[in-house]
Amino acid sequence: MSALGRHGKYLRIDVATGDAVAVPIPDEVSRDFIGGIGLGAWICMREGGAVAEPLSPEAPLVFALSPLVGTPLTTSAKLAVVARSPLTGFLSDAISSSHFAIAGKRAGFDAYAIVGKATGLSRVVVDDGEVEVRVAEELRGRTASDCELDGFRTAAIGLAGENLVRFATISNDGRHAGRGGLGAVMGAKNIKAFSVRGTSRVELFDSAGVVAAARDLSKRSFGPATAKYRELGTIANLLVFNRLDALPTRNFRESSFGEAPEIGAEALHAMNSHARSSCAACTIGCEHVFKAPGGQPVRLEYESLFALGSLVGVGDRNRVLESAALCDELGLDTISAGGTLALAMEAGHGGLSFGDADAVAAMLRQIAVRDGAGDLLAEGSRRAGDELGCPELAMHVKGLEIPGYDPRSMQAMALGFAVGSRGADHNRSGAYELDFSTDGDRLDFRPEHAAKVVEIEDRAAAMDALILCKFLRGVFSDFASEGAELLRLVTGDEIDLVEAGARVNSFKKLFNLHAGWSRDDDTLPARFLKGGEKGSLSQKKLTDMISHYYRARCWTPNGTIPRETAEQLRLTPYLPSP
Amino acid sequence: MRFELFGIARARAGREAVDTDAATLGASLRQLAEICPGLVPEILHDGALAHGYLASLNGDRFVSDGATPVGDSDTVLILGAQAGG
Repeated sequence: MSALGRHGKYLRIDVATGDAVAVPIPDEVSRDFIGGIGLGAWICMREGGAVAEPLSPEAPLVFALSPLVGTPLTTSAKLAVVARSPLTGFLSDAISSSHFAIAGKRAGFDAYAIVGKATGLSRVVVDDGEVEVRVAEELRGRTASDCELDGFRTAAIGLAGENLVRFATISNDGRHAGRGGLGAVMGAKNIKAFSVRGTSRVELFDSAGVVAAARDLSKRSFGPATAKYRELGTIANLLVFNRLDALPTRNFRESSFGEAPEIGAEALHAMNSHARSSCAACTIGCEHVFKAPGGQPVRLEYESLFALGSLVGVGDRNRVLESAALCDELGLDTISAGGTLALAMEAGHGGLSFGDADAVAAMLRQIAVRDGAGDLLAEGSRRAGDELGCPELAMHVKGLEIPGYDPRSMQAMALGFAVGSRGADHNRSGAYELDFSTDGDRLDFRPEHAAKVVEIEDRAAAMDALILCKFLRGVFSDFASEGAELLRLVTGDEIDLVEAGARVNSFKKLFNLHAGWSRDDDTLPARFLKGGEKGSLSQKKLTDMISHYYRARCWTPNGTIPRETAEQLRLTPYLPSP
Repeated sequence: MRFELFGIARARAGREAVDTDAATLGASLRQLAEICPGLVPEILHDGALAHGYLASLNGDRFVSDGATPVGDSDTVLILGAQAGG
């Protein structure tokens, strides 16, 4: 019989040979790492992912589910895609949603690890545990949505993934595992699509309790804590951040955008035809889908809006919609695409200049097929900046382009970016929560704030291991206890989610240590560190902030993990050799 | 002083800005509730901001104490605390 809420095994698929092996997941691993980014990172490490070159055949690409997948708990239809990033060289864990997760769980496994390289462009099919690697040359050049297979649920790459663009995405059901170039990892394996289906079910510890909890959580998810997401979407951030001088504009040279009202949520809702949608098993319905001028529907989030709008100086909402649609079609991460284009604009590379929407559209296509100037930009901003002789213009951390929060005026978020295991990252840190509260001071980070940044990061890790949507954050009054109760109802396990979150974050640091992390990797671009008055950062201040963060994590002053902390978190087996 | 409304607050009030003339944040919020009843009770409740909403004084710092003094030249931004994107 399967473990409660789990299958207790992952499927290792070697696409070079077509061989597939079910690998047991020890119970203590399931309890300690739960699922999602936690389990995915553990499998990736176990499969040698911390040392294999990201685009080599040996590198594993992991699709990890969780105990909650397949239950009626709202927002639980999620998966984590995990690999060593070709953009950063460190761990990348991207979360996506919807039916693929449910089908993957029903196919009989808690996770899938794809290794090897197929001889030609192929589709991996898992049909109730039976595995086939099919030649799929007919899919070359097609969009991810063209790769659906009747009766199955499919995750696929677009042109960018085929061409190993270092910020290519993996898409399923119109959603994207976006950050870190996981689509390039899939493309390097010659895998265009991964299709799953099955009939397998897992037993739950307390089915009636799960149903009751799901009903309660769904009811609460309709409340005021999610009103912004339901009614306006994340794009509502744009005008707020603009007013607070926190909106990255023209490659972070400025922090407010004069044309922000033209591309803000209110203008989009008033001027563009619009519909709402939601992921599978979600009651929030945060997706706001607008019609681009060509008529195609475009799901628009704040990150895409800022990255393809203010960051590149484009103040025409229809052109932003076009660019977002193009990124979805080509399989490009919008944040990295915008960040890399902004670098090129400031450097004057490829004929690009701020505000030139025509050039943005043309260059996105060139990037996806590595044509002309797009070939260099397909490497991401860090490598492009190095090659162009202007590394100081690349706005990244560890190679990952910075999301839509100006670090100078959101300083808790600045710390979250600097220390983030996958680079500049608003989803794994979420420290903006402190900046947007009366507990912090977004313009003047103080040492006592470091512990709160750790607490927020650990809670995010626990949510991403469960996996539940972070838009539920405001719905929980005490996520650690409420989330643990949901997990207990599903698995019977009594898990301390605070400790689990800390364990997952420290494990990700251990992964990065194996991958070559050093203290110098935890930093911000010099553009943000010019010092001065309140509302600015200096190198010394950032260094102090990071030191306080390491201390709050019980890490060494150099940011490594001491044996005592590893023992406390049951991570000793993963410590690098001295 | 002037309230600037963002996101759901703007949608509920049906306007972008509201002027009031009270001397404290708490009294100003009560005036705001009278002028914009659509904000009650979801965003304004018992003369204070409801859970999940924030007031930023002049865009510099978030304030919640009803006794916070405000003057003619001040602007208070009302926005949602959920900043995730």
